[in-house]
Amino acid sequence: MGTYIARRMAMLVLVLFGMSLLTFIISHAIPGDPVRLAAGPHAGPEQIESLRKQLGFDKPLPVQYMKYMSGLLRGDMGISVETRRPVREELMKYLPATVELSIFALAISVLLGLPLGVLSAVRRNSPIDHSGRMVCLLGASTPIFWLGLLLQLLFYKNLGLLPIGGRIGMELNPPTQITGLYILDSILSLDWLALKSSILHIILPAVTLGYGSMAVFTRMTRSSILEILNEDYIRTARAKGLSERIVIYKHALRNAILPVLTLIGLQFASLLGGAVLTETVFSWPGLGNYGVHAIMTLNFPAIMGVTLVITTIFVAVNLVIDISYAFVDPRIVYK
Amino acid sequence: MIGEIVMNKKSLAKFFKNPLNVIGVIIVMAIILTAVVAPWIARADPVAIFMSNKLLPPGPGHILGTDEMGRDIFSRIVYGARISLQVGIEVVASAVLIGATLGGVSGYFGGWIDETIMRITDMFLSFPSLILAMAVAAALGPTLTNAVMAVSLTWWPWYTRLVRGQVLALRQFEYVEAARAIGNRDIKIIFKHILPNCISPIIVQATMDIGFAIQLTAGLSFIGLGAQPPTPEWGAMISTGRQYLLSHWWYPTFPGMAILLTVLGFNLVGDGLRDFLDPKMRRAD
Repeated sequence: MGTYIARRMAMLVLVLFGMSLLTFIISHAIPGDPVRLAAGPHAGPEQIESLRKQLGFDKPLPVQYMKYMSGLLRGDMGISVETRRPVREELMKYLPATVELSIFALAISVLLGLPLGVLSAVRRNSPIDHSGRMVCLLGASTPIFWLGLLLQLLFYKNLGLLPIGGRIGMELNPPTQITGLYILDSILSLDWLALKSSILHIILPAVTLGYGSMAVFTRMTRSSILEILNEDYIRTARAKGLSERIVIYKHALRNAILPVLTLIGLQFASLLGGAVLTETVFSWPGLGNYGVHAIMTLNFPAIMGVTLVITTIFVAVNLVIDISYAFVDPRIVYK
Repeated sequence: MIGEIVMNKKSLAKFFKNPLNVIGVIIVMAIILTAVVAPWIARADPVAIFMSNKLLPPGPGHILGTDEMGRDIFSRIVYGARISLQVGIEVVASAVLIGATLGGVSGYFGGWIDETIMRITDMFLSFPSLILAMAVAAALGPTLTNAVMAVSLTWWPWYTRLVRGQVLALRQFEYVEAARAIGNRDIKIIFKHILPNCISPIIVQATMDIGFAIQLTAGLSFIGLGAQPPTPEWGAMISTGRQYLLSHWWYPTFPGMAILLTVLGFNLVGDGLRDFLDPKMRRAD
């Protein structure tokens, strides 16, 4: 177990190193001159050159990379070309919004997906099972950004029930910053107006982002339970005369849940990726929106920062899930 | 044997017994047909501008309405089918080509070659695919060709894994041993004797992936990193149409339906093929 974790940690470092190298190469291959863009349309050649020197873009690429890496080890991710503020500071500002959105999307997908999966398995080939399958198929096929637009059309324009975008109503101040998660912060600071507004604002983006994952959870839970219902010990439990409810919820579900648990980690990671599109549709001020803006303005350090942060979370979550899997299931031995 | 395709009349009948498979085949055939005969179905020019017709609601003359330049949305969607199919096939074909070659080499030779290829594969799989594709597409510049290249770059590792697993199993077979014993070269054994036998899981995966590749590329176009206006690409149409969502709902709605239908069609066919070719091979998601 110890060696397994050590090996995985080494892999993590390697992946992050690879990602940093890749994003560095990529972001410096971007056509166009970011310094000229940052200096503005009225800057003269001398101003551009001095800004280039100031941002360190005049050095050869390997030197720039070494400088970037040594900064990274100290937690310094460079200076945003656009705002001239530390990238780290900006990422910290946008990260909580993305985390909050992903947690809600994950919660929605698990809370709806698991019961639907159980029902589909238990009532196999019933109308519930068939409609469950339709929901799954549509979940995998619907473009996430388009789903967001349709929900805006329905719930904002036609029904007038929910806001079209943003994290909180324009007329309100964000809650006192404690964790950066608006909903948690407004509870902690007893700001009920902010709480109501931020809950209303998160519903549509969270549903949009979570729908695809919900389909995955439903399908996985269904097939996992169906597989287990064929096992001998289930037959034994039934033969003992246990009620169907106890057989399913006490015997089958417990064992079926394990593969679904691993999926939560994988899905959380993929939600972080999908958040980019969702945030664009709902003007959600998170990492994805920041990243897309950085790409449009050729902001290298910011692009690298966003990719690194998302990849780190992605790899770390998967690592934690793999290790916890071994603790939950004693049969698993890692070499 | 693993990966053998038996396509006789009886098994075809079994495939078509499932209504979902039938729906899938109909959708896919319809999309291919649309792409092929686009000029005959869509009478209006997909890119010519008619400002006097701008933003007309769906009705006679323009069954899906017109966009902000007065172009017929139906025509644009029909021509868009050509672009999307091409995108899907290009992405999957290049992913299969790279993935199968690397997976074949990796599984066949084993040892340090296997170790190196698989670690690189793992590394690519640890990047969230949209983020990687975004970064690459941004670096190459916002065109559809670059978006296709970016998406392909995130896709091949899945095939490397898939093919490597198959090759590891096939390597044990006696006919491979026999091919080696009579003095065939490794390259020939991999490409002539092993890879052709991995074909059915690749077909299943590739069918589904055509839909997903179209979806991901449309996503890139949506955030401005793929096809640019006035190209009638579905994602780019939604991207522009988004500004008119609240006032002219039809503009972003119909191109999205086209994506949904296409992905659904390829998904259904892929799903059906999987159950049909190898009921045991089910991917977790």
